[in-house]
Amino acid sequence: MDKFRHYRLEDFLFDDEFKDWVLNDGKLSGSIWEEVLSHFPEKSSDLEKAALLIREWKQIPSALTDEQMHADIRNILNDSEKREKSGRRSRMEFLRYAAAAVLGLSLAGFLLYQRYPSSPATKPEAQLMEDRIEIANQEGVDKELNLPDGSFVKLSPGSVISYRVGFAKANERSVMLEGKAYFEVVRDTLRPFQVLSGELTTRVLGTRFTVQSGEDNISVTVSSGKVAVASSGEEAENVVLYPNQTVVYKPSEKSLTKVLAREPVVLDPEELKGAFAFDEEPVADILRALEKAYGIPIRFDEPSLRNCQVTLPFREEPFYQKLEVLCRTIKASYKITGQEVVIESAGCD
Amino acid sequence: MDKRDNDIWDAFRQGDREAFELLLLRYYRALFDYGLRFQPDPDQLRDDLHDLMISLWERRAFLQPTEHLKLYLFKALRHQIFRGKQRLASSESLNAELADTLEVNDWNASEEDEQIRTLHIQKVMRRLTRRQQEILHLRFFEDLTHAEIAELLNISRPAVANLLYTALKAFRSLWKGEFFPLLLFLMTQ
Repeated sequence: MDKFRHYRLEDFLFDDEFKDWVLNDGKLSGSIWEEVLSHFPEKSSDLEKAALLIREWKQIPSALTDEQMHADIRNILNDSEKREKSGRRSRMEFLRYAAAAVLGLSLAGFLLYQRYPSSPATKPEAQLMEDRIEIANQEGVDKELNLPDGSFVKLSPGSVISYRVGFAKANERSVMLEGKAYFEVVRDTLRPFQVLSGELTTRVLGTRFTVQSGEDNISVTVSSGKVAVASSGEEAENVVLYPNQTVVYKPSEKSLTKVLAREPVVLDPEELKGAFAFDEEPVADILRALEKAYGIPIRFDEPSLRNCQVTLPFREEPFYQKLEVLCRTIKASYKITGQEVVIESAGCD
Repeated sequence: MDKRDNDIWDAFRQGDREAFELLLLRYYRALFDYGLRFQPDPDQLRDDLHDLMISLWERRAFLQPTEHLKLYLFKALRHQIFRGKQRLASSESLNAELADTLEVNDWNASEEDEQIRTLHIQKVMRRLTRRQQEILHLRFFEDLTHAEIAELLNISRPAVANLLYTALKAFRSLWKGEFFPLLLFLMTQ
């Protein structure tokens, strides 16, 4: 513990344990950093700045635009083909290259078909159907896979995903899903990504979300980024979803309903940073911070809460638990109407 | 190592073009953002990247399996760039040093705040030496361990620790000047 006595900003940043702790969600309670702060409370400013920096660093945007990246990749691929073609005409030694060396575009399709055997003798999971590739998860655990564009999918047991052979090159990247899957979609503004599940189409640019189709409803929940969800048919509706929102589609009613996610995640940890020092704060300020931290609207009647003050540190409890504790403290209650939280209170006089 | 990386690399070495494309889609951007740390001229960097990828593809039958694909590619890029730099006339390399363009990718509006904060990090970074920028990028953006950085830069682990610590001290003293205006900005939101 003594070594932390002389810790300054650069020491926190240098410390591997600190960095890993920040990046794995930074829960203060139970961590050594809580102890450090209780021994040396004057370090809290440097500690928080270091945590902020570490998180911010990860968010630094790329210096490369999508267009430029795709153009460069196309150039590389084209150039490599050109060289091989011209090399072939003048050199017989090409035979020395590995047997699977590409002999030209016309054979690329053939190699692809070879990789997915049509007879289900050994691995029946990936089959070639017409010009689609279908992957089913027949195991009891999540199945992780990559789509041709680099996107990542976690397919739940019993679920099936399929896409066309020319997936990554088409104007839109489109997959069909039966069951449940979690997606991390590679950002590509030139080629929107869409998931078709039953009558629902979910469209994204690059983001993380979960689609789940069940017996009597289909739901989509967004973890990060934003997503447009549309139902098809005569009464087609559409809706834009942000993080911590879920949309539930009922085919029987053809209705799209937006609700709050069952387990909201903190979107802006910065807002709760001061939560370690909630000392006789007016509850209205705390509610506003909570709203910004989770991106979930919280409505309350400010005048009636005027005299309510709270001294409680938020730690890492789930969103609804924070609400409950807060309400109990000021003898209020909350309810969820649509996608908002509404606080009802008789006041604190 | 990531099982997906394993498959991609194996397929690439066997001449699978789809794997080549997948490899590029997965790593081109990271290579570019890393390469900028020591090759600030983006056009020259893209040429280097192009040459590197072509060369890897042409040599694919002779490449070995690797434990950490991204690290391997980073090393290859460094090698490619520094080999090229040795051939540069001194006036050209001076131009390369002066060139300092940064295109900020435009994400959606709600991330504006984050953009502003990270612009501050980038502003401070640009005032550090090339080497310092590189090591901070490897540690905080790419999340490499000391051991991985040592392997990549071909220096010892204590040397990495030294470099990193000096870079952090330099960063901190430049950052303090930037931070207070930033704090005021955040508080008025």
